[in-house]
Amino acid sequence: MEIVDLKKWFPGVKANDGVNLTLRAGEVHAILGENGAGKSTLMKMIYGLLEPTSGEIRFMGKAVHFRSPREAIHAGIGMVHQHFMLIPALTVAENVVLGDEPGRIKFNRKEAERRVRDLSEKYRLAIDPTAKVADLSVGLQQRVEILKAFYRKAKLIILDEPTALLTPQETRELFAIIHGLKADGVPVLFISHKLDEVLEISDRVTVMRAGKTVETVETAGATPQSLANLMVGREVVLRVEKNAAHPGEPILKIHDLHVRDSGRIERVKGVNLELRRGEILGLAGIDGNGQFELADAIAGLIKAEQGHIIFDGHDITRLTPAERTERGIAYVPQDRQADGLVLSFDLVENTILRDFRKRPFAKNGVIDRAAAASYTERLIREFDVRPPDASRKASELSGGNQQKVILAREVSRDPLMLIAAQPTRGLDVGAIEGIHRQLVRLRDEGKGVLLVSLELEEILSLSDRIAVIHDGRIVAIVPGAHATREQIGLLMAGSHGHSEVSMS
Amino acid sequence: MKQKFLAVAASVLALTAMVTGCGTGAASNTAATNGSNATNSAGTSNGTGTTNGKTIKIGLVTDTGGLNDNGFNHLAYVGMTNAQHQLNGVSTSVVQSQSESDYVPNLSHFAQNGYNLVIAVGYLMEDAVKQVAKEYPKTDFLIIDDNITGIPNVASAIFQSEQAGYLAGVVAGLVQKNHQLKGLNTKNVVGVIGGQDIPPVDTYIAGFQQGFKKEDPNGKVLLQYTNSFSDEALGSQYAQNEISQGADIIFPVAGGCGIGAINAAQSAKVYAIGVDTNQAYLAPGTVITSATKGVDTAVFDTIKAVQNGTFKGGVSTFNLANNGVGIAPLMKGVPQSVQTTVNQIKQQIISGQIKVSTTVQR
Amino acid sequence: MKSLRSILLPMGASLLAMIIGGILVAALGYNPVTVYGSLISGAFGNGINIGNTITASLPLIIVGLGIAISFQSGLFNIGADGQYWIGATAAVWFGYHFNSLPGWLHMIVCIVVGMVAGALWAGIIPGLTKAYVGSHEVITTMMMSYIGILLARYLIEGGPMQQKGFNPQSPEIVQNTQFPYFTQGLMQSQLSLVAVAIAVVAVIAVWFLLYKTTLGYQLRTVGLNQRAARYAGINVKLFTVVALCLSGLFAGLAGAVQMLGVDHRLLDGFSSNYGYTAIVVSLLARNNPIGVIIAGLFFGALTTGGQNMQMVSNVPAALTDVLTGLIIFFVACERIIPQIIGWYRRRRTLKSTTVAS
Repeated sequence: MEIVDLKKWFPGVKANDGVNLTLRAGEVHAILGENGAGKSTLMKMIYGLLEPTSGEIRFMGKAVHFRSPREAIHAGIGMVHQHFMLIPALTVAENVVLGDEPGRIKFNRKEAERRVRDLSEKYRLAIDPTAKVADLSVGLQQRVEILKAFYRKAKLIILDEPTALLTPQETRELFAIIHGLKADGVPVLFISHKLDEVLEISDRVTVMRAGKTVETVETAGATPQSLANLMVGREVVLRVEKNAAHPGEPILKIHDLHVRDSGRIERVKGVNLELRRGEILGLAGIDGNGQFELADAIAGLIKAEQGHIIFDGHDITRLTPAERTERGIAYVPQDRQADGLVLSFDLVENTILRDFRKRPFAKNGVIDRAAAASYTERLIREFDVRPPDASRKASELSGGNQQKVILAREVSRDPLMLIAAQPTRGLDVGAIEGIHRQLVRLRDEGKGVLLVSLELEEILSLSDRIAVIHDGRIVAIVPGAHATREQIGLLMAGSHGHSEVSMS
Repeated sequence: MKQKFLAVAASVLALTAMVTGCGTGAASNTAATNGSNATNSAGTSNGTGTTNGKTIKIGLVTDTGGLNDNGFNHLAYVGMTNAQHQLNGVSTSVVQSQSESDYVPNLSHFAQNGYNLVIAVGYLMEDAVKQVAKEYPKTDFLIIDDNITGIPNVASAIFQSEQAGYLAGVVAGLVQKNHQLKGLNTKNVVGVIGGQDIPPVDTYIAGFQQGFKKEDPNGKVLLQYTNSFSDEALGSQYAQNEISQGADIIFPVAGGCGIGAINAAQSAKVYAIGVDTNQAYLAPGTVITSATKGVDTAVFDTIKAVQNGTFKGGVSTFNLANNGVGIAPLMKGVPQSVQTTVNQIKQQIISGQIKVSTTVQR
Repeated sequence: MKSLRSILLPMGASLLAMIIGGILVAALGYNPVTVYGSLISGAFGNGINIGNTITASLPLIIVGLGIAISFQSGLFNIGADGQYWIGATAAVWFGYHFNSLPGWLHMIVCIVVGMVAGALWAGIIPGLTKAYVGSHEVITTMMMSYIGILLARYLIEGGPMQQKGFNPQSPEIVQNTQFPYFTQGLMQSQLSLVAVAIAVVAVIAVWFLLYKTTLGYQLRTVGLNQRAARYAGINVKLFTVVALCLSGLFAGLAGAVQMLGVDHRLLDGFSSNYGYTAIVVSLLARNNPIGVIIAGLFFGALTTGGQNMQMVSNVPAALTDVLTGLIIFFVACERIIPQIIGWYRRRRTLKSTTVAS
């Protein structure tokens, strides 16, 4: 497949503005770009969902114009979408053959199952054709999608952000499948914004930025740094640069804290923890081990069952969230869309979410929109929120910019402490860099930062100390400088073998 | 927000645009009705022409019960329709009120458009009629089931339905006492179902109780109120309840709700007595007779009076003496002796020998 | 382009409804031009008709405001009808029971009492149970609505509020609590400048409350995202109660205004259904207080126009309902369906995220 100077202009937006790409037989070719770089638009044009404004797509040596996905499928293009197009109530075999069923009038189930079994053996995609899709894991559902493509005699497989919903284990399995396809000579187009995945799986990488393909490079000669620079268009700092910490007095002390979630299940089972001014304390753990309940409990969103939270010398265990906010606790919640923002509110209304009761945003219960708007505009400038338009609804912003708004709001309140839960989840390189820089800046200003993250890399690169939580208890606290991936990983999994390094 | 606001505005605009677009016919129509009554664009004249060159226009305003209430709204409409067919030069129009607040606008609308007689069905319209009648002294008004006095252009029709109820009670008492119908049990129980504890209902019931007790002093009258005039299922439920207590003649005074009761009586193979109008058609072989109330007669007579120029304000009472109330012919199978007794008692009521109270015994 | 579309769509919808209705009417042997002409002239044809239309729309507008508040706060107040009648009952009782107060003060007392009664009816049981034990407000407001209407009915059917005599109705409120009519000439329309002024003030007040005050900000935050509201330090339970109280307050206000301005006493029937129509009014207005005026007038016009349609063109009432229903349906489809879908999606995603976390 070859793509020559493809363009797609929407009114006012040049979604694709000069895309050039050559896909060789039997190669895994990655398309790398930040959110909004034009990757999806390109895919839609290849798949016949959008018509190009100009340019040409050549497939197997011929110029093609797909007017619908049907034509694209017919020509041999197989697409696995980020969100699967499967019918949960049907079996694997039924889903795979749907639209092209064996048998004339009566559906020949046996035949369908046989064909699907053959395919899965041929491409080494182990799956039970009689299983119901609803019962399958996300990784297996993805396999069904790939099988669907092959059933329709795909000569090319396009994977759109295939790892977004997968667990690390499933990602490994997917990569094994991709290697298998490559061995069979099937070309794969792999779309992603994750540097490490691209480096691991692809033969060549085409980087897109602002609707254009910037460069195509051999993966062998690329480094994370070089790719990140290409993606963002400037020098990006991947490894967080930070000076030595100067920890001060403890700002937060937690004694024997117990927390139950809304289902009355005990999630935090006696946590003791101390956070000092001027340090970043990373809370590492596998998802579901109580770290987010702990964060919510400190912010006051969940009641503590037992134990004490001492903040800035005062017991705040029984205070309301609003009172804790007043005392200087800032919180970037884990789920930015469900907790951190009101998506239908504009940026002004979202910016004052924590301080709407206070001057200058409100006087005698009446909101001063002008004051709020000028404050919002200032934050938009300082934190480089795009588009820089305070009257936009939060839902119209990209994930990275939504997170910027939350962070701007929380940080600009001049808090004593920031709890950042998963602050960079789902964001691209440029946005992550900016947010990391903000966290370090806060630390250097002498605030306490509690970083709760599932990304071990993030914890390791930012934290001055790392606390590991397992099954609702802190199993170890390790100095950040000496911690290794393996050591923390083992602790997260519940192994106590390294507990001698605890309590630095 | 502005766009959404505009969108609603636009839909209203679209409606208004229709006025100018295709409303010319309507405009002239309104003008005609507003002016003299030379044309009767509103209403359907019987088409046989006008004997004295003058068409009278009659407007009927129902209460919130609507035309299909199986009660006085319906009967008033029947009376008006009869007048339209039988008298020359009568054109009619009906409007159903949707809420209590509609009474005044609806009454005024007819008056304002030069209607000769406006009929208000129901005592609920008392205030509205008083108000509108004073504003339009040239229009005549008739109100059903209410007694407004002292306004010359308002006639009130009240019905001594206790007399009709009494006769129905006599029928029930006689057949119960002597077990004169097939399948009657020996418990001598009759069941009454009232729609609501209000005068137009209770007068019937009071009369029925007295008539029944006169003929069958040892019999028993069950009484329940459904608080509905429309819910057939509810009426049926109440009837079944009374039937299970031994009642084998059911007398529902509850409009549409009562129809359910009659149906229940039919399926339980017991008997029923209809109300307001001859309801034998609902369940032949089940409905022994009906206590009737001549709302249709009252309406017809008043229309006739307006046409002849003899309309008089004040209260007209309709009773057995002027055939304003009565009972429907007895079902086949009821012995002639019952009819004879009923006729005697009717005469005694008319002559004043029997006085019927309007108070319900509880 | 978008705004042009949002104007053309409802216009097209109304037109389509009229064409379909017109075919239906013609098939039944009536002249569609006369029928629709009478609908429109009945609503806007002359001063009196316009007065009637405005009078009919006032309760819908005021109740609609209350519904809009509840919707914006994420609550379904289905029982506004009962709150309306409770407000009306309270206002009437104060209206005839006391007669020594000066007129204007007495009027204000009646209105305030109606508002408070409506607010308590919605706030106490549905509000508190929703906030503290989680009973669904659709059920509780609905049940309280039945109770309210039956209570009002009992009061005038043999209860303590029945007027002497045999009719099931309350005594008339004293003369000086009745709103003066607009002008002598428009008297038949029962249009009262006081009632109009109250409605206008109510619209402005609700708009100001929702969009300009911290109270409204908190209500809307609770309505749009309860988790974010909790995060923002808003007492979600308190504002659930406040939202239902405010919603009932306006329903009660509508009841009081209708009694003081139009009915002057409680009459048997209770069939106005303002509480239910106002839900459609509010949805059509996208819960925007200013839009509620337009939507309320739209429904008021359909009511008065529909009754004129019966009187002038002699179509049966049932057909009138079909024709006005068609217009509502087509206009509403275009506006309500995307809203309901959006609402459903929000609820579902909220649910799934709650489960996931």
